[in-house]
Amino acid sequence: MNSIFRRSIASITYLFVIFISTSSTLQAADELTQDELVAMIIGCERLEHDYAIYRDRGDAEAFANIFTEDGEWARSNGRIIKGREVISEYVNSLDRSEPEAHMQLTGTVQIKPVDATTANGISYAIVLEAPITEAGLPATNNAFQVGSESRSVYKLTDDGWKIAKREYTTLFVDPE
Amino acid sequence: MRNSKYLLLGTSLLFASIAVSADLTVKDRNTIEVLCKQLLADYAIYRDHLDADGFANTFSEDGTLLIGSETYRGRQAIRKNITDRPHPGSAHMVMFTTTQITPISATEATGISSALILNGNRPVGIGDKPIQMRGISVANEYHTNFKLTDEGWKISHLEFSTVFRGPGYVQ
Repeated sequence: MNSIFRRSIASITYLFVIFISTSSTLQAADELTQDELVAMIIGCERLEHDYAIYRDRGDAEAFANIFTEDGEWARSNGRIIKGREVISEYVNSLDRSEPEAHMQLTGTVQIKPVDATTANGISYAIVLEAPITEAGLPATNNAFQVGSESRSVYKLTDDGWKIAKREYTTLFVDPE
Repeated sequence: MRNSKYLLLGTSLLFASIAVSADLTVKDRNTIEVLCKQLLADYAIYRDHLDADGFANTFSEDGTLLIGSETYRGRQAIRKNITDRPHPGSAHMVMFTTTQITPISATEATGISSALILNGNRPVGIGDKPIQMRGISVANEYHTNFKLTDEGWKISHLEFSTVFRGPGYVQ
């Protein structure tokens, strides 16, 4: 009886904490001025475009700097790369022995504020990639290679908006 | 004579809307553009995730959604467009690209946008294998009217036409 009572109290406390934290979060998002909201959307959208451009160029340092210092970047195999330094090392370690043209085309980007310094985002991208032959560019491409959905948490830092967490799911892949 | 009246009326309305539009500051225009683009993103994400409430609330209370010859009028009908689809939904991406937002006044705007659509034949969750597909399914052009309501900017009308098809076949 005592344990049922204790569990009930624990459940009620848990629900209360969830309710309080959720309602305060919603309130914080609702309290944003229109200017703050617009600045947030522009700042986070820019991160999505930075992500694509720096990834295409293989610019490891610039790529790492779009994340927070302790930012997390989850790869499709589930591996989580944490921290700017490790992210930069990872990008530098990618195999570039064969020259390849790479374009990440960023499409739909949805930004939802959580509070004044946090936002969630979902973005779509398709990727074109093809080897660059001795003839140089343009590379030949017959279809997109990947269509993916990314889910990100953005944080407002002293350096502006940054990606705190990012993971993605590849929905479509070219069979070849 | 009647034609002249319509021409005069049309011209007056055009000048009136240009005059109202000209009253908007650059900041007003930028704000409208950012918020209306987000409505299109909401439309795409909620459609793809089959979030019926999120999708319906992207539209104004009396908003209309035109798909082919079918018109969905009002949030309840628009919501039904999502709930009537098979759940869980197959992987689907409405990938908006070029988007032109034209503010008409402080409370109205129009938009023209292009989107690539990738349409799969099964759901793909985290950790699932991607669907093998060559090429896009279709490319659509969207025409949208936006209006400022008590709930903020909403889509008051959206319709689209398919400009390119396939190959986008699932293997």
